[in-house]
Amino acid sequence: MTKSINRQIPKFLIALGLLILVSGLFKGYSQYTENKHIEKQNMIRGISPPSTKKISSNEFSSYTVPANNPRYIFIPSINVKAIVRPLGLTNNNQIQSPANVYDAGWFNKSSLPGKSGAMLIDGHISSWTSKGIFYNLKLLKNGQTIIVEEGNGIKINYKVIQSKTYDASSVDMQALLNPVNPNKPGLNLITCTGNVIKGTSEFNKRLVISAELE
Amino acid sequence: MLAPSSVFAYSGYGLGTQQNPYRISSCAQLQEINNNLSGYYILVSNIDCTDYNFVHLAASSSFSGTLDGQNHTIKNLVIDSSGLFYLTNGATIKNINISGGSTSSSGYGGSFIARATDTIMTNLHSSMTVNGGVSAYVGGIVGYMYGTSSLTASSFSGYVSGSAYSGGLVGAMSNSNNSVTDSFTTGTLHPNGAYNGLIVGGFFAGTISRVYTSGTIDNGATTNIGGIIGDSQASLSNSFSAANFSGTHSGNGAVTAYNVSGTYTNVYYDKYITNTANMCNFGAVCTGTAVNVGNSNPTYFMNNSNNGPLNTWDFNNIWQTTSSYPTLRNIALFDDQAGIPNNGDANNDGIIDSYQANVLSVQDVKGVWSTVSVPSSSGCSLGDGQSTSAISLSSDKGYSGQTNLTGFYVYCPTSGMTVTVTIIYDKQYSSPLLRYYNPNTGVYSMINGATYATKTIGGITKTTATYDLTDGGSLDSDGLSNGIIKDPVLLALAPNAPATGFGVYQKSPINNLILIGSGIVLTVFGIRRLHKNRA
Repeated sequence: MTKSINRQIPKFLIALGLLILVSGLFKGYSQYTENKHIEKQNMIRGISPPSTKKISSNEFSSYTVPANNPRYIFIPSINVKAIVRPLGLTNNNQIQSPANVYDAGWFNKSSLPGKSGAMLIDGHISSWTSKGIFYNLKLLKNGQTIIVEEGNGIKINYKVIQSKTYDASSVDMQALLNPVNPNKPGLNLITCTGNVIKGTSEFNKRLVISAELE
Repeated sequence: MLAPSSVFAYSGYGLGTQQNPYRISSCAQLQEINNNLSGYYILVSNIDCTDYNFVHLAASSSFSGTLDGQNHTIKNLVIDSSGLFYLTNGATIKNINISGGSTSSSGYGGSFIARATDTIMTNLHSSMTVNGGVSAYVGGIVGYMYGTSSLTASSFSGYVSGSAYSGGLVGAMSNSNNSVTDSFTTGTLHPNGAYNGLIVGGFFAGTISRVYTSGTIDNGATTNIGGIIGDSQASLSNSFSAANFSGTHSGNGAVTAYNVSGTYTNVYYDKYITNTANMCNFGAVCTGTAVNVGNSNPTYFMNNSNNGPLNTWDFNNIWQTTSSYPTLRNIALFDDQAGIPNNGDANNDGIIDSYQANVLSVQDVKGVWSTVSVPSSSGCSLGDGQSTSAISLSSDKGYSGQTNLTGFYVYCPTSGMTVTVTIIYDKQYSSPLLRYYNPNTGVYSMINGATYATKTIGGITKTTATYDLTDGGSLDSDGLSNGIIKDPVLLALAPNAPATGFGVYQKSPINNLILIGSGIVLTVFGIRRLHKNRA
């Protein structure tokens, strides 16, 4: 009896192995074809994936902006240290996102660092192949510090006061462009969260971290 | 406690300057003009003077200030005598409609001014009863003009009576620098003496141009009444008479009663309606063009801007045609309900907005209405600032505008005040975002802390925006803490959230590799075991 079972184990392992192998290949193929489909759709819609090229230390240190514009963002608690690029709107009235997953973007119609109103900075959570600069934004807790450095080298400290998640289609844009505390200059960070919407490269939710001037 | 910013015991608000005028919102405050005859006054709402015993202003000293009605109406104003003002000198009276009411006069009288010297009168309209009785120099708008006084873009549709030298608009004009321009009468003149006219009684000097009358001369004095002028010694041009002499027609002139030395250029009269023998009854011979002779062309002056003299009038900016005789475009501005949403009660509080100093409806350059209000408890009132900010949106790069600018002034009782403003837009806008336009810099900026909602009024869903405004603050375009906030704003389209992700990082590829790797390992292991067993 035991001998018979022992004789069957290799066959079972082979069958199981082949099953797993085939399923892995099938899944890989499915994903490949889906990615191709998404790629094609994105091409039609004019969406190109952000660059995943690492920012060199030379590029980082030589980056300049006007004196009162945001130059860098530092979030020590989640190890964020990034260039802040000025961004506007797309033709579809959507706030642009950074062209590189390792950069942050400042919506140039929002406030300047430390000034009344709210400045809005966005950044990617990820691409297919890389973690984005705001991959760990969800780990930020109230009271933690966000530092924005201006073009003139002045560092402005903000303190996290709120974290909110919205469906991607119903982000409160009025809130996003205003400070949570109307009496203090604010900083709102936004990135994607949730799950990728099937058939697209986009996420179904947005995470907004709000901070106020310390 | 709010303290009025007045230099005399004025019960309203303001400093009496052009920058910070006294704000009038009641008949009692109108009466208080007597306390400062050189101040700058504005009406901030319509005024109903029913049951108020108004005593004429400036009885012995001239009013030399400015009264700007801002296109508001004074209703049922009963004045003891003369008119709103007895004497003015160097004054400006403008943008006022007097609806109904009455005054009487024992010499020199008019709805607005009895005796006007060097006074600018613009956009004045009256349907008052001006009873001059047997007095001379009574006019529907002004009794007697001296100096460089002028009357422009005005009308009279009430009832005026007087003896010699009384008129539908003006009793008499005495100076070569006097003028009456772009004005008309549709009211009734009851002449108790000779030399009355439905525009001017005694036209001793000055110029009259682009005027008409379609009013009535009722059965008062029997002779020497003119359709336009009683006694003419000056220049009339580009005008017409369709005066209806309801009493005796003989001995009257279709245009002028007594033509002493008047000159006439491009003057017309409706021969059938005036039904008088001559254009001028007596005196020097006058010449003009008679139309509708024998009722051959009864609509010659109606719904028309091409026939003479209408072809010399400005129908783009000043006049407009109607199915009847022409009218002035500015008259529509006094209509309580003219186009204002919800039949004139745009904020749906049960009170017609034009009677509330703290509610203002304005149209943007595309004709879309927005209604601004501030709490009545704030003591602040609103003024139309649309004319100074009616500009395009081209400079607001980065945002799509949903509305054009709504420009308004907030007049507050104390400097530096913060007041909550609510704007009701006449339709619903998606993703509204209120933006402030600084006319000094041409820069648009976000209005922080604005809240948005929808409200259904009269069955229409409308977007509302509410925010705080501080005198002298960043949203006050005069930049001064002076009791006046100037604030042009518009609704932009809020942008959409950015796409800040592009697929899930490596999770799927790793899983696949693990799956494939596990499958290979298991299969190889199984094959080796199988071989081993067979061996």
